[in-house]
Amino acid sequence: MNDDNARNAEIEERSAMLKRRFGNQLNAEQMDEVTKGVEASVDISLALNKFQLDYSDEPPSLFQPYRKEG
Amino acid sequence: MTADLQFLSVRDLGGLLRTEQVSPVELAEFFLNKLESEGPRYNALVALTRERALKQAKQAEREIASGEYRGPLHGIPYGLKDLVATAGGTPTTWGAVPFKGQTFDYDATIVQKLDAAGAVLVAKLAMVELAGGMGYLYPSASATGPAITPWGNKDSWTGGSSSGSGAAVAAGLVPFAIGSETWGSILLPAHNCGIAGLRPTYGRVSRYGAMALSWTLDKLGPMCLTADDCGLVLEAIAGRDSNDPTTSDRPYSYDAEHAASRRFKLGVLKGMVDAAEEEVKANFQQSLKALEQMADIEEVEFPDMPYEPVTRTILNAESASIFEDFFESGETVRLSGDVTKFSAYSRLAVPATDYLRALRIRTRICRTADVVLSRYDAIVGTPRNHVATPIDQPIRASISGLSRDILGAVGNVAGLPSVAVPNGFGARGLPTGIQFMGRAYEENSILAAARAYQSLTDWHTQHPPVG
Repeated sequence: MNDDNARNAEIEERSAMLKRRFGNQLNAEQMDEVTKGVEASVDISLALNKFQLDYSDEPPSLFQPYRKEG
Repeated sequence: MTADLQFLSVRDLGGLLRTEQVSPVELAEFFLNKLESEGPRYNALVALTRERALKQAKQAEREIASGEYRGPLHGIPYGLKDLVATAGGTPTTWGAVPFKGQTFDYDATIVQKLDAAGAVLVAKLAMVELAGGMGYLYPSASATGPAITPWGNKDSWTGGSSSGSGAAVAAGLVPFAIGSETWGSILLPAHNCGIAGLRPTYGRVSRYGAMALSWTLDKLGPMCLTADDCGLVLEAIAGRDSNDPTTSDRPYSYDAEHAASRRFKLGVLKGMVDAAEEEVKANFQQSLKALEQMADIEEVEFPDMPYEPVTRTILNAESASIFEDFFESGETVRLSGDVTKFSAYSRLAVPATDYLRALRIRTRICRTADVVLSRYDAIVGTPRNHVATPIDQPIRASISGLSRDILGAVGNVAGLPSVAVPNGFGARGLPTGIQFMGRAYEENSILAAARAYQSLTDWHTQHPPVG
């Protein structure tokens, strides 16, 4: 699959998922805006995926195990 | 006497209060009346907090008279962006029609801290609905209508999302205000309104009680007439808070003499104003010329990294989770924004792997930015490359899609402090600004540079015709 086809397939997939979830709530014009948002976010995904990460690159984390005092 | 109070700095007002030349009650009534009569002109006001303000002012008056002076904010009125919770029945609307009746039974930590400093809350101030969290194309995306900068023909936008805070400070309706920034929401209104706005280091100021748009990007900060005032306010609101685990243990004490007698080292982001409006470019270059009197300046570049896609992904994913119930409720239709607000639903389809990838790249960005910034007291740039948009025109969104705002993206995703101050006027008599961004926790360095710049220029002493 070439890049354009992959991009379009991803847009279709995400849009379809959102339509299943919100199709009853939003009209056609509003769903068109959802799709425009999906297009932008897929382009952002593609930009993120071009950046080479190392295996050791970790996200910053606030998680701490919890133990109640006393 | 009271007419002279309108555009006095927090520092100067504090001096008058401390020496009992002005009483806190007189000052509170002065600004309450100003807000009431002039606030609606700028769509700046959500609600006055008159009863609370006069109670606080009377207490301040008693304390100052008996020698119990709490410090430079004692008896100073201020306004609060309406995403910060306050007790006492005044609604906290988040700028959005669906939340118009929302109340809280507690004060946010920042309000408690300002109470402790003796500051007097006079108003909840307008904002872009949900801090712009749904996306918006027009300045009218607010329950109180488009906020208007007091400059120019009074037909241009304040910028957002701390819109009312920007307008109220610029118009002399409050001596200072609290705003918030996730990506641009303090610096942009400061630029559009010709005032000083400080985005503190992430974690400097507790977010407890403030509407969340993005847990790891949101910052609360002061908007004032001068950089010096921003330092005074920051000292009062900074500090560890057990209710906000992201707050830092590092103490903050404002040093108004920081670096007073040495030359600064400043970086200028390469190509910063290449795409700027002519006047914005000219004002920036003029600012650099002024800064050369007190600083060595060199061009700087950040390494090529996906700063904006990373910031955007984090913002989209976190805001989608925060507002998921709101999306589900269908209440979005009641928001004031145009149809583009529905594009925000797309955030619910951002894959978890994208979010985590963005966070992993963020770690790299934080280290990279620190290496670059460690060579300077600050990197200077424009908060925006254009003047305020007319209120009936689509905004030239610099935080939408893949648009370019490198300094804003780096600064916000890495949680770095930046202060914007006015540096001239552009098209239609509207103000422009310059920002000084520094290393994490180096607010005193950037404030020193901004203060030095303000000592060389008089833009901050110019005020719009009001009244």
